[in-house]
Amino acid sequence: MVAGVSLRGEVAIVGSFDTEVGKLPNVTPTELCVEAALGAIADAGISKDQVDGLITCNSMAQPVMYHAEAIAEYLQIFPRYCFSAGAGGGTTFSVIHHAASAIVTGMAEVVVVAMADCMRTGLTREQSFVVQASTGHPQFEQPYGPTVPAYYALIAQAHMAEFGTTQAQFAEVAVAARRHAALNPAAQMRDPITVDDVLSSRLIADPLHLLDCSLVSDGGAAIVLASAEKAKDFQHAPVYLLGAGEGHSHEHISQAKSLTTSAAKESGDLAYEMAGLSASDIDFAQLYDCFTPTVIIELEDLGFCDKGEGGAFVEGNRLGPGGELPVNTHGGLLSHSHSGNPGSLFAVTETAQQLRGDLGDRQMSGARVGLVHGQGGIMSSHTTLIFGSEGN
Amino acid sequence: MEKLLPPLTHCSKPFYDGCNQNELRLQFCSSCNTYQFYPRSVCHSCGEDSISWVNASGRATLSSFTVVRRSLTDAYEAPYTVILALLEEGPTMMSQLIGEPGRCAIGDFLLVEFVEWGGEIKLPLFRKNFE
Repeated sequence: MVAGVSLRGEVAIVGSFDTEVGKLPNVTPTELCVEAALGAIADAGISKDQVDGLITCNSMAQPVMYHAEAIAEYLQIFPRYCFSAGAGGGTTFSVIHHAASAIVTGMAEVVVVAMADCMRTGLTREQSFVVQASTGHPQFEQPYGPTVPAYYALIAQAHMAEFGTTQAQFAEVAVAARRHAALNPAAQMRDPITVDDVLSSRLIADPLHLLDCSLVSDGGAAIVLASAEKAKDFQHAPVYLLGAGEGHSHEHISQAKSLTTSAAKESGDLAYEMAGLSASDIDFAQLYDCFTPTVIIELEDLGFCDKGEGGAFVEGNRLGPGGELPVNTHGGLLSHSHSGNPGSLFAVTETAQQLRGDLGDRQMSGARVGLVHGQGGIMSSHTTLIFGSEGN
Repeated sequence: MEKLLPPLTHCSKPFYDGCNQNELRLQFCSSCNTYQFYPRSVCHSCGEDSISWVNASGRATLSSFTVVRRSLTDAYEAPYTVILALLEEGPTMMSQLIGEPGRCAIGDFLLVEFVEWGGEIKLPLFRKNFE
């Protein structure tokens, strides 16, 4: 592998904002995206005219041909770096990798990443189900009637058969997410749940129960990125990007070389190498939790435990508030919200807030380094980012 | 409402023509002796276009499965078992299991059967093979 310019400590998050999440029937995805962008710009304490880079992702509920350009036009900003990306749930993390590279190479100085969608009220339940399942191969997967839960259930079933992982261990991931969400007034689902609640919720695609599945939400979020040098002049403490890495292994699950080991291994290795850190240095992690088993596989592939040990690792509230490795401290896609491709951006805004240290009830004491990991498709495209409260 | 049918292209049509004749066809590359599925215009291993269609044995093992309880659309009657079948020749394909949903285990031996799917197209499904 050829080593390029290291991004370590060169770029920081200087603004972040979440819109409301859940059911938002009176707002369009475009309006939500604009609200998120302006919120993050205000949080950064700058004027919109200082933004010279904009990255968005398209909406599934209300697709726009040239999405980023349309958002820029709506906002009347005129960036010199502007694009819309789509890599499923991995989009939000991979574009931060791109934005950081753009800042380091001088393509832009202040980049806004803003994303929103209305998966809950902008689509019927049937439409939402079908549009997401279209990630499957149109000729060789979709005709068999797989749903998105079914694609991930194939992965879960393989992990159970290979390593003896249990449904109760998957359920532990959902229980921990709900414990975090109970501390977050913005989260969509806050009532406590138990492992038994998860196991007695109805089966959607064996072995996944309803409560193993993430939510369907409206919502949006945005961040502002700037060079570390410039970041010191903003009103909040900068949150530095210390490591970034990606891994892309397949698109369609029937083409995956392994069902139980993912390209999170490659993305994690690259991010750790750039940051000069390892899993043992991470104070908290936000791991993509569209379904509970993905968290277990990501914990293994990112080196928090050995391959096959993820099920045992998540037992005993290890991922919950006050646990050894708090995971998805906002409640994650399982309990905070999941607005489609933008859903994982809340993991980044949460990370920024945790590292700034201004989160009230759910503020972790002494949190200095956080890892966020996203994946899109069906465990297909992976990006790992490591953030810290201290730069170079 | 109809089940989803595969769009036919110059790459996929020979495969589905085979299904209609109860043949499971795979592409085989004579440059590097590799089978591939799904069909492509070039060999996914060596990049050459020396590809021909050959008949597969129809024998496979079950790589994974799930019983879909909440169906994709009304055209699909839940519960049904979506599977990944590892073909004897090497490639993996998605399919459905014929028979009682969920009565299977990873590693089971499978045998292909061709089932009418609508629009004059048959799909290759699999049944547990007790031979």
